[in-house]
Amino acid sequence: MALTFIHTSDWHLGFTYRRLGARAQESYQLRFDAVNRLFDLAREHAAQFIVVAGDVFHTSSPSQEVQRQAAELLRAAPCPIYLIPGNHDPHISGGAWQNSAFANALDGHQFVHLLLEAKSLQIADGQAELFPCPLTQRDVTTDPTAWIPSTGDSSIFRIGLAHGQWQGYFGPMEKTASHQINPERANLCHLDYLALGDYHSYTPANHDAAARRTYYSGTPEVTARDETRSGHALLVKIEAPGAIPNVTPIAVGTLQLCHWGKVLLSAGEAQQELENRAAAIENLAQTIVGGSLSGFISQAELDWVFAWQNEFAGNVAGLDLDIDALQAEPTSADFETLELGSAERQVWEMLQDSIDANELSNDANAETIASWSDENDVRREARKLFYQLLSS
Amino acid sequence: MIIKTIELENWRGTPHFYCELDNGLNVICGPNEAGKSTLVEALHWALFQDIVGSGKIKGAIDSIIPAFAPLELPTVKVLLDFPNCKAQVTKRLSADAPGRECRLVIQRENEPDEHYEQSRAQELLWLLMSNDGVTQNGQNGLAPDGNILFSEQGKSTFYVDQDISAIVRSALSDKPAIDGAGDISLSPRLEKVRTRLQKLRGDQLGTKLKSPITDGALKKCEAAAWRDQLNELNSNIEKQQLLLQTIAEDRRLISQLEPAITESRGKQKVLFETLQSQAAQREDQQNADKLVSEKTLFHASAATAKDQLQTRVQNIDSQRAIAANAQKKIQTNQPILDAAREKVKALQAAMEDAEKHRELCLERNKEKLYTVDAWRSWIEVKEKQTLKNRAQKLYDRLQELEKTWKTAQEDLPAPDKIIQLTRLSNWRERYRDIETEEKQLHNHLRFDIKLESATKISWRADEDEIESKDLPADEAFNIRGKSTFDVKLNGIGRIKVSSRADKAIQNDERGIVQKWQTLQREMAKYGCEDLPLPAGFEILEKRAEEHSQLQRIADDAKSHWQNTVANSDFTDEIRNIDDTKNVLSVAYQHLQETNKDWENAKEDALPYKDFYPDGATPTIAKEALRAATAQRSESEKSVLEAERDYKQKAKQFHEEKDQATKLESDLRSETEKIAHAENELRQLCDDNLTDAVRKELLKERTDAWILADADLKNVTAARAKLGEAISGEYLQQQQSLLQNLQKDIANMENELSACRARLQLQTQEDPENALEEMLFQRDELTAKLAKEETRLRGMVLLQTVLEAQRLRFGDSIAEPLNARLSPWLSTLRGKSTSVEFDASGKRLIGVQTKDAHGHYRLNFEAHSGGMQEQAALLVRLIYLQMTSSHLPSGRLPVILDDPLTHTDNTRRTGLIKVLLEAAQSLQILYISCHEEHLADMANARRIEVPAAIGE
Repeated sequence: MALTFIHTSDWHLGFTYRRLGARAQESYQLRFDAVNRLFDLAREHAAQFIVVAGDVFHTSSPSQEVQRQAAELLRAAPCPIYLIPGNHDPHISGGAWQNSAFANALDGHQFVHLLLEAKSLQIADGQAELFPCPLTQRDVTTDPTAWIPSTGDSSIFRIGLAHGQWQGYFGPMEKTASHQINPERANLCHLDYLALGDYHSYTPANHDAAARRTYYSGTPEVTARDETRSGHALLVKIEAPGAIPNVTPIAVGTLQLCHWGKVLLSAGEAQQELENRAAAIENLAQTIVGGSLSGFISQAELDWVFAWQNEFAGNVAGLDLDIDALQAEPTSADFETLELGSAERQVWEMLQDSIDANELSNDANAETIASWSDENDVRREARKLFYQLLSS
Repeated sequence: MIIKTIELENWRGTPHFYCELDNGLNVICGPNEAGKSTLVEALHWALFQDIVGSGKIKGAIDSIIPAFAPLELPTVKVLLDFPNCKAQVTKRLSADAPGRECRLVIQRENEPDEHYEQSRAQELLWLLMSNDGVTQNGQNGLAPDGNILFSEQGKSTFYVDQDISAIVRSALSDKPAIDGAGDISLSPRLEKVRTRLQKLRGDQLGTKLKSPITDGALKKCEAAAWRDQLNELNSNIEKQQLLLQTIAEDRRLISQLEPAITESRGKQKVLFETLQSQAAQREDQQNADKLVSEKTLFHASAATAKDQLQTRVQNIDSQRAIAANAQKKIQTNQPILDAAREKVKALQAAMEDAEKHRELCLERNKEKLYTVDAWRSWIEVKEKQTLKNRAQKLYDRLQELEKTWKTAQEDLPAPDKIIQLTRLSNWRERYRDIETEEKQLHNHLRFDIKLESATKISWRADEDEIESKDLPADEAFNIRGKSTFDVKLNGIGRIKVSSRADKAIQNDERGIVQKWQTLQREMAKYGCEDLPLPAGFEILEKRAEEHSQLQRIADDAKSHWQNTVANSDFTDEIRNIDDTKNVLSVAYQHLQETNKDWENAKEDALPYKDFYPDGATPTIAKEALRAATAQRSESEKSVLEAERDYKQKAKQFHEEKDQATKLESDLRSETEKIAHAENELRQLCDDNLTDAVRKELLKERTDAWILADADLKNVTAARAKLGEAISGEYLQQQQSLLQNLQKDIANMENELSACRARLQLQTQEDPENALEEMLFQRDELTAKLAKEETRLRGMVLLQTVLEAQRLRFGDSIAEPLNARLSPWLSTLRGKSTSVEFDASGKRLIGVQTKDAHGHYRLNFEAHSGGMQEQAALLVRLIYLQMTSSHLPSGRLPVILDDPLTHTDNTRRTGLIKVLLEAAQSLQILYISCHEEHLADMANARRIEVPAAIGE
C-alpha cells in the first residue's frame, strides 16, 4: 500500500527578516502562515503524516510568545506530525523541547510527536518505521544518522528524519562542515526516504541526493535573498517499500524571491534600468527583491535612486537591496561645464590617481593621506566634494 | 609669435590704418579717441575671436561697422611671424554670419604660399599660435592666452583687483599672481574652495588625524555619534556573548548534574543497606568475642594449676639427682688432687735453681762486653786522629799550591797581551804582503799606447831598462812605470798615449794605508806599537818566547792544583776545581769536621781511661779487641742456654700448678652444688606432702585442664565463622560517608535548581535572537562608518591637495619674482626699492624704499592703489618673460592699453624704462595718450594714430 506524507523543515519560527527594513516585522508572522498553509496542503493531499526535519525554531531559547504561538500552530495539525530539533534549536537544557511552554502545551497531544531520542518508532498504523535523528547541540561533529540500523523489517517503509549537511551536496569543492551526513546513508540503511533539514532550498529531482532517495525540503518561507528554491514543502508518495519515491515540491510561502544579483548601473540609464526591472515583477506585494546595485551615476541619478528605493520598498513585500557600491560621481564632462581654469583642472587631475606623499609634503600626515589616495573610493569622495564646492 | 604688421579698413572710425611693428617696444600714441583702443580691439578680433559661424558677436559687429561706410565690411589684416613661417590673417566682418570672412595665407621659405579660408583658416591660425605657446582659451597648461596678452584701457585697478590673479594664473597655469594683500594665490575660486574646506574640516575633524579617521571626528561630526553607538553596541554584544556563554555553561552544568545526582542516589542506597547489615554482624561478633575471652581465662587458670604442680614434682627429682652426682665426683677426684700438689712442690725447687744459674751467666757476660767496648773506643780515637791529620795535611798543601798558582798567574801578562808565536808570524806575513803590495802599486802608473801605423817603439819607464817592441798598426798595448816615461818612435806614425794614474790607483793606495793601519792597531793592542819594523819583530820574538815560558809555569801550577784536588777525598764535593777559594773552604771545613770527630771519639773513650795497659799500641789494641770479642760471644751463648733452661722449668712448674688449682676449684664447686641442692629440696618440700599424694593431685589437675582446653577450641571456632571483625570506627566512617553523599546530593540538587532557575530567567528574552539583532545593527553601523570614513578621507585628501598646490605655486614663483621685481620697481619708481617676501617666500609682505627722505618700509597692503597696480603689472610682465623664454619663438606680443591710469608722470617715465628692458624678450605694444612723457624713447618705435573720422 502506498505511503503519502509531507516533508518540511527549517520553519525558523521567531525569525525576523531584518534586511527587509520597515517591513521586517511582517516576516515574523508570515512564517506561521506558511505552516498553516502546509497543514491545508496535508489535508488536501490526504497525507498520512508530516515530518519536520529540524530548526522548528530560529533559536534554542525562543521567547515565551514564540513558544506559545508555535504550540498553538501545531495543535492545529491535521495528521500526526513528527518533529526533531535541529542545529538552530537543539534539544538542550532550558530549550523549547522539554519542560517549556511549548512542550508542556503539546504534552499528550494526539498528533504532535516531539522526537528527542534516536530511537525508531512505528508510524502510519505500523505501515512504516521512522528513524529520527535529533540534534542535542549546535555544533555536532559526528554524523547524526550513523545510529540508524542497516537492516530491519523489509516489508514496511523505512523513513529517516535528520538535520545536517549532506556531504558533497554542493559538489566536490564544498567546504567540510561539522555535522556531515554520509551521502550513502539511505542506501546503506535501506531507507525508502531520508528527509533532511538545514538547507533552505528544496532538493531538485535531478540532484545527486535525490538519486539517493535523500531530500531537503527547504524552508516554507524565505529567509534570505540568496535562496533559490525556498517557500516550499515536499509532498512524498511511495508506492511500496523499496519503490522510488515520487516527490513533488509545493509552494506554501507567502513571499517570493526576486533576486536581481549584481546590477551594474551606468550614468544616464539608472532610472530606466531600475524601472524596467521593477515592472517585470508580477506579484510585487508578495515579492522580496534582493540584489546589489553598483556603478557610477550622476548625483541627480543617485538622489533619484534613493527616492525610488524608499518608494519601492513600500510596494514590495521586502526589499533587500545593497546599494553601497552605487556611487555618484561627477564626470570629467560635469567638471568641464564649470568652465574652470587650469589650476582647478590640475587639482582635478591629481585626484584621478594615487598621489605620492612627496606631493603633499607640507602636511604632517602626508604619508597617511597619500596612502588613502591609493583607494579610488577616497579619491572619488574628494572629487565629489571638490565638484560640490566648486559648483555651489 | 611676433606681430609684423596691422592693417585696418573701415573699422569703427578708422577708414584705413596700417603700421609695421618692431620686435621690441612699440609705442602707439595719438590723441584721445583717435582709435588706439580700436586697434587693440581689432587685433584681439583677428587673433582670438571666432568670427566664422558665431552668432554671439552680432551686436558687437554692429557697433564696429563704421557709420561713415555702413555698407563696407570692417576688415583687419595682421601679418604674424612664426619660427617657421609667416601668416597673413584677414578677417572681414559682416552683420550676417554667412557674410563674414576669414582668410589665412601661410608663407614658408622656398615653398608656394598656402591659402585657407573660413573655419579651416581659423583652425590653422590657432594651431600655429598654440604651437608657439599662445592659446585661445588657456587650455594648454603652460601657454598664456589672449587675455594676458591684452590689457584694456581704463581698467586702472585691473591688475590689483581679484581678476588679475585669475587672468595671470589661468594664463600661466601654475603661476599665481599676487593679490592686493600680497598673497601669491591660487585662482580665486580655488581659494574660495580652500577656505570653505578648511572650515569644513575644522568643524568635523580638527587638525589632528587618527586612524581610523572617524575616531578623531569632533562631536559636531555625525561619525562621532556613530562611533559612540558602535562602541556601545560592541560592548553590548560582548555582554550578550558573555551571557550566551553563561547559558551554555549552565546547560553544560545541568547536563552534568542530572546524571551525577542519579548516580549518587544509587550509591547512597547501596551504602545505606550495607551499613545496616554490617552493624548486625558486628553485634554477633562482639558476643562471640566475649565468650572466647571468658573461656580463655578459665583455660589459663587450669593450665597454671596443673603446670605449677608438675614443675614442683620435676624440680624435686632433678635436685636429688644433682646432689647424688656431685657426691660421686668428690669421691673420685680427691686422691688425684693430692698427687698433683706433691708434683708442684718439686717443680718449684727446680725452677728456682735454674734462675740462679741464669743470673750468674748474665753477670759474666757484662764483664766481657766492657772489655770489648773499651778496646773498640781506643781504636776509634786513633783512627779519627789519623783522619784529622790527613785533612790538616791536605789543607796545608792546597794552601801552598794556591799560592804558587797565583804567583805564576800574576807573573803572566794579561791574556790579551800575550804575544804568541803564531800571532807574530801572522803579523810578519801581513807586513810582507803590505810591503809587496805597496811596491807593486808603484808600477801601476800605466800608459796605454796605440799606434796608428805599424812601427817600432822603444821606451824607458822610470830608471828601468830601455825596452822596445814592433807594433802593427792599430794594436794597443800598455806599459807601466812609476813617474817618468820616455818613448821613442822609429818610423812614421803617431802614437796615442793615455795614462791611468787615476782613481783606481788612489783607491789601491788607500787600501794599503788601511791595511797598514789595521796591522798597527792590532799590534798596539799587544803593546807593540812603537817598535820599528821589521827589526822590531826580533824583539817581539824574544818577548813571545818569554811569554810562553811564563804560560808553561802557570799551566804547571794549575795542573798541580788540579791533580791534588782530583786525588783528594772530597773531589765530588768540588764542582769547579778552578775555584780555589771554594776548594779551600771545603778543605778547611773537612779539617774542622775530622777534628770534631776525633774530639768526640776521645770523649767517648774517657770512661775507659784506667783500663788500658801501659804501652798499648794499635796492634795490641786490635789483637785484644779480637780476643775480647771471641770471649764475649762464648759468654753470650751460655747466657742464652741458662735462659732457655730457666724458661722451660718455669713453664713446667706453672702448668702443673694451674692443673692442681683447677682440680681444687672443681671439688669446691661440687661441694657447693650439694649444699645448693639440699637448700632447694628444703624449699620444694615445704607443702608437707608426700610424693605419692603429690602425684595423685597432679593427675586430677591434668584432667581438669584437658576439659577446659576442648571448651576453648569450640568457642574460638564459632567466633572464626563470624568473619573478620568489623570495627566501630569503620562503621562510623561509612556512616559519615553516607552523610557526605547525602550532603553532596543536596548540594547538587540545589545547584541544579539554581542553574535551572537562572537558565529560565536568562533565556526568557531569547538571547540568541537579541545577539542576532545586535550583530545586524553592528554590521549596518560598521558599513555606514566605513562609508563615512571614506568620505572624510576624501575631504582630508582634497584639503591637503589644495594646500600642497598652493604652496607649490608659491615655491615656483617666489624666487624669480623676487629677483626681478625689486630692480624693475626701483626703475619704475625712480628710487631704490626692494620687495620683501615672507619666510615661506610665498607672500609679498613689504616694500622697502630708499630716497632723499631716507630709508623706510611699508607693508604691501598699506601701499597706494597706484603702487599696487604697478607691482601687479610688473609681476605680469615677469610671468610673460618667463613664459616666452620657453616658447619656440622665444617672444610674445604684449598689448598694453594705457596700463597705469593711477600713475603719475614721473612713474610713467620709469615705466618706459622698464618696458624697454622687458622688450628685450617681449614684443610690447604700448598704447598711451600721454605723449609728453614719451619723449626720450630712442629705442622704441613710435606709431602715430591719426584722429578718427567722425569722432
